[in-house]
Amino acid sequence: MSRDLGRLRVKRVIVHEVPYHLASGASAEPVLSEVESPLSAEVRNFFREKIAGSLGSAAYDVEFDASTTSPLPRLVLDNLTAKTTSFVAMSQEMARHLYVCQKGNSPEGLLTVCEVDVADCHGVAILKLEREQGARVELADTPAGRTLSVQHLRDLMLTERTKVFKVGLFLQTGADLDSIDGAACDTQKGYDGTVAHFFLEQFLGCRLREQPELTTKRFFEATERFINEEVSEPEKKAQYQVALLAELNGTRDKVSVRAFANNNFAVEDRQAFMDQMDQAQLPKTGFDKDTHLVRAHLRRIQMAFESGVAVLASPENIGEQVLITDLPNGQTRVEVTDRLRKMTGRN
Amino acid sequence: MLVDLESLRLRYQAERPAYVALADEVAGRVRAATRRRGLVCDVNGRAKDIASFLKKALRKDYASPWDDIHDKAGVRVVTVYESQVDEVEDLVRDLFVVHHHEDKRRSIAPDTLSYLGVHFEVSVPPADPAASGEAERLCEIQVHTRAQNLWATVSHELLYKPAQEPPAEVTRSIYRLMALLELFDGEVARGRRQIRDLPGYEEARMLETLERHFYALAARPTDIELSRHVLGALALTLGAEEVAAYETTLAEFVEANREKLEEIFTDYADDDRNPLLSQPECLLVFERLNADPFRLAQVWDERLPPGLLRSLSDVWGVPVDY
Repeated sequence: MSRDLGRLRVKRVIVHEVPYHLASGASAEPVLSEVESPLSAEVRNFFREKIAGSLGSAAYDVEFDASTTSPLPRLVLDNLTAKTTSFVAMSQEMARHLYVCQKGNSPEGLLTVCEVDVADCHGVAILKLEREQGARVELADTPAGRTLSVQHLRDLMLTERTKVFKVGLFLQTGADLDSIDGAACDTQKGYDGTVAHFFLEQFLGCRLREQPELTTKRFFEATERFINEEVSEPEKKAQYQVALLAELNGTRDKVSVRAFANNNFAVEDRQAFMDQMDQAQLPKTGFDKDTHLVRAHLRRIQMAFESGVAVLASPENIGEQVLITDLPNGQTRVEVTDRLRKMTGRN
Repeated sequence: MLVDLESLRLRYQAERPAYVALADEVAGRVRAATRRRGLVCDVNGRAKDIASFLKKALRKDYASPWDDIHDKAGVRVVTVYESQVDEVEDLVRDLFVVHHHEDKRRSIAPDTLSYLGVHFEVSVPPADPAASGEAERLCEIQVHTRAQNLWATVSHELLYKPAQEPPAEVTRSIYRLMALLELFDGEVARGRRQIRDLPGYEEARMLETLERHFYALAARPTDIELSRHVLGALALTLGAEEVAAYETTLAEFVEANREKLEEIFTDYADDDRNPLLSQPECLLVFERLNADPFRLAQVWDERLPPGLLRSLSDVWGVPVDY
């Protein structure tokens, strides 16, 4: 999602309690609010920060899956266009659907649905929150129906008793499903996680906008381009290339682009790298790693020199058997210290 | 020439409400524009009262008093520093159609003591729908420093308003005061320049720049000690060249993000969870989040509570928490 989430403003909020749903069926029913919650500036801003913060750190670009049986795409599109279903009824249907989806060990939680604006785009944000044990949700009776009071909502949200785990945001850029800009994240899964299957596919009715193998390939190519075009010192080039291969050969199943830059690049190169990722329209937050299309490039590093000399080495050899030194005249010295096994001719 | 006072009176009485509206309109635009530029100044507008208008018509012996009296609507802009008079001049030229301009600082002889303000006669641009009907009417704008304003007020009371000519020693003492006020403005400007040129003043100058922009966006009391503390850390995210160019960098940043900043300061006016949102240095944090969040996070984590930056980054929509 390329929208500036610092422009996000929360217009309406409604909160429903969605309990454990045991496979045996012996569990409580969702507790549904009947009217939206009244909002104070603090609570409005709390939701704004949680949506922007969660999606800013770990969002996936998603799109509605045309083959889904989830009612979410229909409900979201209706809210953003015709509004034949009221905000309250839409959110209640979403809560009932979440209850159906989250079977087994999915924790109970609060489903919060917000109508938002991001600059001049309307949108719907859906948050699954988990409250600390013992913090009960109490609906108050109002003339219009049951809902969370401002004070209770404030107590639940602003006292750190509630954490935001899963977020979906859908912004209207046109009148059909294809024109809805979607993003989702699951902070509960942590650095290596992906968006929980039940939340992304069963509940939101979405799929990732780009297949992980393609994103991984584009990341690999854009990073190599950055190393070769923007980094001038050969030692640094080698260091960064080794880091790229280590990242993609590693066991983590997700790449966080910012964390990769932060952990491997000198501080003066990090923002330039992120700008390059931005230009390549890669997700700045992260993506699921699938090295299927780049596997052949991950085994060795090739150094090609102006004279035509080429050196091929495994990443683990760099800094050990292969030493790279920047010389004052701009040239580079590569020293190989090893046992020579054989020499062959090559065209 | 004999003035038909009664018809003048009736006409001005009928049209005065339009001049009241014009003075309010011009003052409002100047006030908004000075605030946008972070210029601290007083702006007041008024339409001449009927008695003053008629007295002026009699006193000046105009050929056509209605056309020749150009200050039926008047706006006074009083600045703190002399250098700000030039800034207001630029702003007036941007906002209005200027029919006449007089800079008394440049028009009087060096050996003469006199009032040194800047005067304009302007009209609101006719193409502007908000000012339809006001295009043909003129409004006088006077721009001067607080010292010059003091002189204008006192001299008016002592030299021009009394029914009889003041004695020579009173006139002389007023002129001595005039010299003193000119010296006052000059010394204030010189002292300000010297302070700004002191080594190590860069941070203070940055704070001054930040305050100007902050007050243009949010009128809130700030804590200068907190500003100095935070700025001391944040300055480390900038190189010497970036510090030197910071005034321009920040002005461009604020202009490019004005709508977003206005939304944030409106939304957080009644939300005091993050104390830095009430401080001018939050603008620097936002600018750094756009320019180089990595260096900002590195410097911040070594010197300031990380939670505050995380919260500001959530507000700005640029994450620093990896």
